[in-house]
Amino acid sequence: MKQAIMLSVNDNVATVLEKVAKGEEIEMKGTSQVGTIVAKEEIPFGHKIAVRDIRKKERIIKYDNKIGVATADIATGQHVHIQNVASERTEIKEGGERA
Amino acid sequence: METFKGYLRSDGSAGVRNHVLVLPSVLCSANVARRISSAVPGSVVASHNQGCAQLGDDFKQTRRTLINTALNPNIAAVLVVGLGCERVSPHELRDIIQDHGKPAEVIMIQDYGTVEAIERGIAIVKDMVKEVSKIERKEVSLSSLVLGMECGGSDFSSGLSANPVVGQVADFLAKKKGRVILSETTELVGAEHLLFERMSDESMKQRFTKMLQRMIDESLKNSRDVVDKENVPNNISPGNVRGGLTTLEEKSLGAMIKGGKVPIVGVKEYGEVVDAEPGLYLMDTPGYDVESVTGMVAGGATVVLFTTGQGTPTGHAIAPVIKITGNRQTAKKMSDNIDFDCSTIIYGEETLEESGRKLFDLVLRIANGELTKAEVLGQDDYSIWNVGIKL
Repeated sequence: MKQAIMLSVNDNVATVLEKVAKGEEIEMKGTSQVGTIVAKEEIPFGHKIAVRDIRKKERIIKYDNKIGVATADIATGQHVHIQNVASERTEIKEGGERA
Repeated sequence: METFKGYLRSDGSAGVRNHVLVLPSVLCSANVARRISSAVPGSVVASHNQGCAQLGDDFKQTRRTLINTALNPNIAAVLVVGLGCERVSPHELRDIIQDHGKPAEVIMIQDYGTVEAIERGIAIVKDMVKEVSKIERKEVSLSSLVLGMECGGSDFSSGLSANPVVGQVADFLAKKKGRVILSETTELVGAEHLLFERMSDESMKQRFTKMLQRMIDESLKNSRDVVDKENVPNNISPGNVRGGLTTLEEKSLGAMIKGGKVPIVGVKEYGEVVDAEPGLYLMDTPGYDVESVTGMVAGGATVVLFTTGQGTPTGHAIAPVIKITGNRQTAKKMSDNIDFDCSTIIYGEETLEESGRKLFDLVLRIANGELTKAEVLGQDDYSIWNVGIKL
């Protein structure tokens, strides 16, 4: 089974260690809190997959730290990247709109 | 091992290389400087495009970087190549270098024209190379080592393996009372809360906050642009994005680990020399690799640890640059450039500490004289961060 690595139990994303095709099952390394996840779409090598449902404007957590905010609802198993995440520090103006 | 074999300098510092430096004061003299250096193996050249038509902080930064580059312990003697009408004074550079006990001479192109300036320069540099070759390596304490930590062409693997392994080396060296420089201000945005915790001094925190704000303000002006038909963030590179990094915060959280857990003892301006106190120094540099490395080398770094996910050929004119990757594909594709592969820790084949010990051994071998791949390939990068508009 293909693998992804989660760096903290608080993270809502994991990093896949090889390219994953739509429908493939992925085993989580790094924590036993999350079982396997099925990829809802292709995830490129080294990219992030949602390990739980994330609502729009919710924070993306990796390394047990916030790395950005969701700009759309993201379902478990979806690819988490620039198409659905913005930098909270350098892309979001006061009021929550993109710079 | 508590020592390495270095070149002791008259100010008490120790270099890992024994170069004669040909230093142009200005872009206009850089071509002549390069030709002089290329005629004399054993010399290095710090070719750059600054030195005139600069004002205020921008000028001060160029001047400071040139002086402190020449004072780096890896440099044994210096020939300054001036034009004659530039803002950076070649004679002042020579005098300051000599005042620090280092042999230095100057030639001015406007005194002779190109051909004679090159001839005179070669004559001076060949004598310097002969003279400094008499200096022998001696056992010196590891506390004399100053490491510059850099990352470039980062991807998902950088924060998972290469940067944590470099952080281990920072921790090992800190135990031996050495000094470590962490730079790339942009790539600390989003991880600053973890660095503030390690600063005891309030004024240090204020300076660090100001440094970060400059980069945040610049990023907000232009947050995304279309590259290859895709709307990508501007403050991380298209290669970072392809490699799985999504935001600056994500990149920063992976990048700041390069400083290990070492207490932060200073916040330095670009190219400013670190103090004698052991520990970690933060330096204000851009994330642009060669400019960042040049700032740290001017700050006194004698060896640079450079992590890369996507791979890069970067080296430096003054200091050996050790390239480290956690991306197994990159280690294979760019084996010409990669000195150390730590992808083992991602796949659970080695622990972080085991890989860190191996890297520390490599750092000591490089300090003792073993060449990096960038040195073997003659990768003599040098570039000064320009922070103003040229007139």
